[in-house]
Amino acid sequence: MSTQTAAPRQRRITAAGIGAAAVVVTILIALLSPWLTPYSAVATNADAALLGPTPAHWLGTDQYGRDVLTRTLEGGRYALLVAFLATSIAVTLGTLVGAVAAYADGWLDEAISRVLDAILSVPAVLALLLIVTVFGQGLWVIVLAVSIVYAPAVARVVRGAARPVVSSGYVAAARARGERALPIIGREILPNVLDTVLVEFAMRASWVVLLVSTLSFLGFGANPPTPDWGLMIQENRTALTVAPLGTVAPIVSLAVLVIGLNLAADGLAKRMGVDRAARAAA
Amino acid sequence: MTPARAQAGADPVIDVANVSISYASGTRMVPVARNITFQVYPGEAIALVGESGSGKSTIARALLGSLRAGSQLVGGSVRVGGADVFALPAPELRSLRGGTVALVAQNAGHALTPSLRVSTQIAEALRAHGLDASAARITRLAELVRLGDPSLLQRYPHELSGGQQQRVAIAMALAAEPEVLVLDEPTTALDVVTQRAILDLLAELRSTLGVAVVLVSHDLGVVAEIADTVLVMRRGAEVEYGRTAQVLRAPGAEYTRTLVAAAPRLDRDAAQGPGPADPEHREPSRDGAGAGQAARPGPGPVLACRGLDVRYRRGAPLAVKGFTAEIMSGETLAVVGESGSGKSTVAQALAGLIAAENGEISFAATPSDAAEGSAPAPRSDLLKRAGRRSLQVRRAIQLVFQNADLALNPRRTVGDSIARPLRYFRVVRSRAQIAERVESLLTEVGLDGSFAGRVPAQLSGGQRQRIGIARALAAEPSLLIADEITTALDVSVQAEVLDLLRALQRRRGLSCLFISHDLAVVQRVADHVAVMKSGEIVEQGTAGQILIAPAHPYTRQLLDSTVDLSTAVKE
Amino acid sequence: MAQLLIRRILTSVVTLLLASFLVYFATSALPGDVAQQLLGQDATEEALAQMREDLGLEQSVWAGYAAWLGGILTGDLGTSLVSGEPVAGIIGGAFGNTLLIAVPAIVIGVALSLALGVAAAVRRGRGADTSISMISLAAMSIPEFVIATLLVLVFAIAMPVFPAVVLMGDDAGLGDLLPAVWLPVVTLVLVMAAYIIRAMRSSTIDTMATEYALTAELKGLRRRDVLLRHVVPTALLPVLPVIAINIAWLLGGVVVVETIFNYPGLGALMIDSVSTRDLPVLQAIAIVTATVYVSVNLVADLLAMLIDPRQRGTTRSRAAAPKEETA
Repeated sequence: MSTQTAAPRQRRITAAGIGAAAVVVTILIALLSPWLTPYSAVATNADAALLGPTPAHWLGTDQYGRDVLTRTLEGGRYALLVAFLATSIAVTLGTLVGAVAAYADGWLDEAISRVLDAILSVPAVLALLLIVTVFGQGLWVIVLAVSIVYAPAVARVVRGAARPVVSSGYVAAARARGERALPIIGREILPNVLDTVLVEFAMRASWVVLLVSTLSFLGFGANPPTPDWGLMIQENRTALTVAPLGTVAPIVSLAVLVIGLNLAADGLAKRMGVDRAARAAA
Repeated sequence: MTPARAQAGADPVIDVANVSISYASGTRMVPVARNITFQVYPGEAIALVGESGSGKSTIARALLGSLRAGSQLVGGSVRVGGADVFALPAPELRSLRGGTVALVAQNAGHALTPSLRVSTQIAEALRAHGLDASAARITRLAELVRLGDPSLLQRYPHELSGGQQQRVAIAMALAAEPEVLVLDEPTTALDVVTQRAILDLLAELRSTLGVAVVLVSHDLGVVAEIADTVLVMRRGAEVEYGRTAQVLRAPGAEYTRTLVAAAPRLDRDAAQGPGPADPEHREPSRDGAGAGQAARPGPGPVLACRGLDVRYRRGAPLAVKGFTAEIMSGETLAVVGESGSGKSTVAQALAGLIAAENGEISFAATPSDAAEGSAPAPRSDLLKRAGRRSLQVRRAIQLVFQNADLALNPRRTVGDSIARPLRYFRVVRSRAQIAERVESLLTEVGLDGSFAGRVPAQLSGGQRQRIGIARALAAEPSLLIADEITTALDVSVQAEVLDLLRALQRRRGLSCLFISHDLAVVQRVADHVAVMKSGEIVEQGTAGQILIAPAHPYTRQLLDSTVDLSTAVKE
Repeated sequence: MAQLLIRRILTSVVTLLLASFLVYFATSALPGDVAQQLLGQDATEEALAQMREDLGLEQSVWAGYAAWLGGILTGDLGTSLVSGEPVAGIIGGAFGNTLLIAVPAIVIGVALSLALGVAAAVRRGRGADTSISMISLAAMSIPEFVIATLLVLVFAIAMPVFPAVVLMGDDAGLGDLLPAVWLPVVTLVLVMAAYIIRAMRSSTIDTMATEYALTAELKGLRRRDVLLRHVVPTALLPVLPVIAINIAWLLGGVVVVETIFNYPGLGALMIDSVSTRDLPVLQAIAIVTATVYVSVNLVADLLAMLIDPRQRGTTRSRAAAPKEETA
């Protein structure tokens, strides 16, 4: 019934391509950053504090005399690492739980849904702060905390996507053959929610990057003197009028990464026919 | 080609001249309708006939100046009531829509806005054309379409039955007294009895209001009943255009001949049951007394149900009450009924998708069990879900599904889907044997080995249904349960699938439980028929008995309601 | 209908109970000595013992949970470990301040976003749609602390129309706060609008493609009437949960925004309590925000039932079906 108009779709693919390119470049820079500039990202130099752009320091220096370019190039490492680990765990966990809930359809589904709702009802930032308060600011604490916070949302989305699959003829055929739940979920259901899961991954990754940066900004994520965009914005914003690049550079880098992730997620969703905007609810 | 019009002095109310419509796909323009020309005179009825993708709906909607997004008129003109529809400024176009030409969309359940009461929606149609929208006027419209109780007007669409929704949609279309009514598959989504009532209503409205009708349909039976002229379309182009009776009785084009031949028809006089295809096996005179035993050895029951009760959830009312029937070895039992009659529930319970609550089922899992001639002993595991049945039983009962689009895993190749039961039931073991068996199964359902590498998205609806059958056959079942397997298919494909099913049954000695709402289809395949209504069997017997000389009034009503070609072609 | 309502409300209560359980366990019952964690390595034995008693760690976990839950139900949220004041009072004041920025942000944000979402859908693929979509994508991608920082820079420093930060501290009165709410409100609107706009746009496009929207248009209605009467109400349904999430997030204390503007709301209280490790306050904030989340979602569901008669679960349709057309 619906006629696909192809013209805007082509434009989407290009936008998604730009997005994916932005993400790849950001990751490459983060990996290669120690070799890209001659400066250390953490060594302070009181003589060269708050410089403007110079041939030696293209983006100037911060209040401790550290090279802003160096810190910006390395500033994505922490957020990217946490985002990659946490998103992987959250999406894997959420996908399994969501698929099981969709297939179970009964008291188990109801119970899973209630628990997911309960976790979702505590705001993400608060949940993270609570966990950090009790367990400290270690990398794995934050990774696991972020995973636990986002897994329920993924589970809800995957459950929604798996429901129509569960009622399809091929799942009924497998049930009529007498196959057990796990092979059915693995063979028939999961391959058909893969589109949704991939889009979820890109989308959650962008949220996790934002969340991790926010945590660092608030002082609960990366520890000084680690170079991290959120932390840099927090440290340098008091000197915004004197040396604006110290704040602007990490802002632009962060925005490029997240816009890139969002564009890639949009493009992926469009190509796979998953409605992404409608699920911002979860 | 144009049928002669002897409408003395009148101008056509619709004049479609050389219309071509295309839609943009990337940089290409893909034609959906090519050089379509026809006229409709006041009070006349034309049918646009074709299978899915023929462009018939596109043309019908163009009459209201509506094209799908991305489509455009690339040639010709559409004149309705003298006005060039695609040249009209917005206000005039609005008054044309609903005022001169009104649309009744395919599925009234989708065409009525769910959040508004139906009276409000009718009132809107009146007000949009500056007409009095008083309660009295709306009630009169409801009477015109025989909606029944006027309190139904205060309901929301989902609180009405399908037939009532369709009546409301017609009332809404008639509100501003249009000259032309465009009916897009007006009865496709309805049960036979409801379809009959709507068709009678349309005939009545035509004669009382003198409104011209443009009918879009794939169903030649419906066309024969309503239309004066018919325009057969295929892939956007005209195939044949002429007086309905003439086109149906003596089709000029090869394609029309195929359509007419494929159209299901219910033969109500013939003394034979399932058609002339294989007289050696079908013995419709076998009415329980066992007169057909001469044809083949051991036609004992493969499956016998006694007093089967099924409900979907605990606490829900029984969906099936006391279902008692037998399926003879190598024969087909058709269960017919309207939606909600419980016929699909029977299929699901026997296939083990839901558990039965009460009753007895006996089943001969191997052909030798059935050859005894007497019913096998009841087995309690047959009342349970598939997971608790023995492997042998699960393998022996296989299911083919209603909606071929959803029946195959879109992520797996055809070969993979067919190989799964082969592996699961260990029909054959080695990789080479499996590949070989997949290929032979594909050939058996009329495809070839090259299909094994394809995914469902690359197949047509008919091909998917064949794959569904091949997957069921892979387990080497003795009983095939076919749940409305032809419902979503075009008629020509439907006929092919039915022929395939019968050929397979003959070759493999398969027994079949055939679920359908369509008596004409049932007549083509069934040896025995059980008629269900509200969860119970009201009548059962041989196909000959039930379809030619029904005893129960409900069966007679179903038969009388069936719309088919037989009368039109015989006249 | 009534049955459905009761069921829905019961579900909310169960969710809340579960949430309170999770919060309590995550903070009190996990392995490791919470008191030690809170006080640090060099805490004295007496201090640790005192802390354990304050937190109810002496009792079994279940008894502790029961006592804590009982307290909540009777309005006793415990006492702050830092100030020694009742938590209820502390949270009440902060929550009121948060409402002062959240309510205007919600009203403006929701109305604006819905209108923009519909506008973008109607002009799908054209300039207005592209700009709205691009701006919302950008707004989604830039964290609120960046937006807030930039706003502070532009308004309070470059052209000082609004006070950038609240300097009065916790006991600021309404009069002191009012001029300070605008920048936080603008930040919040910008951040929440993007999601609602995108959801409304996509839902409106889907609904415009339905048979009933087409039928309404083809019966001669004006496009505006088609849109407002036939499309928007149904298009709202999938957007309601998105709005609910955003509202819950806003009311739950917009930690970042309040920190940057030094605004004494629930979010700022949260950060303070984390720094001072004031566990009873944090637990109470978690319960308050969970309650907000659950109630807002409940309201969204009720609204959906109001808009969509199908969700009211009338039994009439079933009763009507069997007797259809048989006469």
